[in-house]
Amino acid sequence: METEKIDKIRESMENLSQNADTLAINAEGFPAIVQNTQRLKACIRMMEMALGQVTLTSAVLEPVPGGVNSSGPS
Amino acid sequence: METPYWNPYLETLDPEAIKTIQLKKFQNMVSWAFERSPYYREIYQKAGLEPEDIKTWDDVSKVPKMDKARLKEGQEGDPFPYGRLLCQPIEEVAEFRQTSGTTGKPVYQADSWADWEWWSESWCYILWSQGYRATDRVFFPFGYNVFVAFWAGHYAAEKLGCEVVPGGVLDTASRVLKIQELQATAMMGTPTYLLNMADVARNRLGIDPASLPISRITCAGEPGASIPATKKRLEDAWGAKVFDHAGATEIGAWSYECTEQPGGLHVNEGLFLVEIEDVDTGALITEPGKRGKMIITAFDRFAQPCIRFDSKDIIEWQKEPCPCGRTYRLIKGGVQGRSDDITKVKGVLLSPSAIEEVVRGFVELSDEYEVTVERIGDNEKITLKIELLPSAESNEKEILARLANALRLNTNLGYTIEVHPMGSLPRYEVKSRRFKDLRKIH
Repeated sequence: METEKIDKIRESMENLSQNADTLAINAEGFPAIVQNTQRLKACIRMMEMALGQVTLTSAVLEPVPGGVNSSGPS
Repeated sequence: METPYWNPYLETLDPEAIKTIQLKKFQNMVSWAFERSPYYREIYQKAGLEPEDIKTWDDVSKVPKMDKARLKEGQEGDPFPYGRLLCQPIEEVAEFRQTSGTTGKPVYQADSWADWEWWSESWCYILWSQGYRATDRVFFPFGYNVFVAFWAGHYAAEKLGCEVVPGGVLDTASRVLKIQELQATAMMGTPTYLLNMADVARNRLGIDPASLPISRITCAGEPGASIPATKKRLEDAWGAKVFDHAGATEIGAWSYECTEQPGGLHVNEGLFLVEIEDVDTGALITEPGKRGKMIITAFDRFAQPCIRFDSKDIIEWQKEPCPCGRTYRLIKGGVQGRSDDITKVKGVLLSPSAIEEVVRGFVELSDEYEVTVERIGDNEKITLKIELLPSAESNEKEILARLANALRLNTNLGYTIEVHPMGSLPRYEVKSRRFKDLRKIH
């Protein structure tokens, strides 16, 4: 796949992940939103995996050496 | 402070605002079905109905009702096996379930992936309102198969963050032992099966079920958990709070009992529209105090919609609001029976639930019983088969006299009572078939 396309996907995922985190904070005390956001974050983690990213922290997408999102050794 | 509501917005919304949402969602479902399902379109066109005709609440009743027979008819033809009821391409169907088919050919239920999420979301309302939280370890003692049963409860518990233990193909004794081993705190089942499990724990394993850490039980499939005597039996047996909910394969999980246990079930009015109709006249019942038949619409379930489905469930609006603060209306005493189960015997209306309330109120009797109604010549005879607990055998005569009186008082009918040996009446894994009207067969 073209790098440009992967970069766009990664950027959208970063936005999605940040929005999910913001949503979870804003929805505190609203279980139907908070718990569904947890599911959303689990899905985002699967997407991060699909790009070979480190998924321990879903909010921070770190480049993986040698991974498709890597711009080279850091 | 933690909210008692899964959805603090919808569950406490002003009733007029809920009605506004419901009407919009109803219009949306009718349009969707009309455009996507050849069967719904055919039914609506025959009735001279176009989706744009639904403008106000008065128009809702113009929409033709569906029932099981119509669903089965709609499933004839392609695409197999959902036929002309299907509203989405078959490639988008992610989950198959079916009804039990006790009244003939089963209805097949198609759900998209989003519909399946909808199922678990509807169960989240139930579980959260009954106090399930992430700290619970929830045991599921049911066969995971083609019947919807507690599948959505499983996924809802998961969504709440509970730890889910699937009790799948284990036999009853193994399930009890697994609960003990894992110290499960909650579980779900039909009242019949949970009483059966308690019996196995006590009499086969020598374990007092009340000594196990189960503190919360959610029932479904039978009205038992809303029948006070059966609820008490379950609560005493397991030393746990027992909650009811009502749902169905074709409909979804449409109601729930909250921790206030107000003597009724909340209708999930954000996801469903419940109408109550007079069984004889078909007139809409909007006020408490009169029982009728439920006509129900599920909102936001799209692959195989459920629009104005005649469920045959007998329900009644409850007058008093619930102290829990939910504005969702209550149905009194849960599902009180089914219109096709309530039958006339010797000219008197008889509901199987009324018999259950009496029999389960006798601590001297086992959890199992069976009722048959038959015609002998010009007479009709009701036979009640029971099992006496061994500890009560010496008082048999006195107990049977009290039982006969209680039955007569509560149902206005006389019964032939047969005492059967302990353990000889059928035990059921899922839904029981205790009431048999043989007049319909012979």
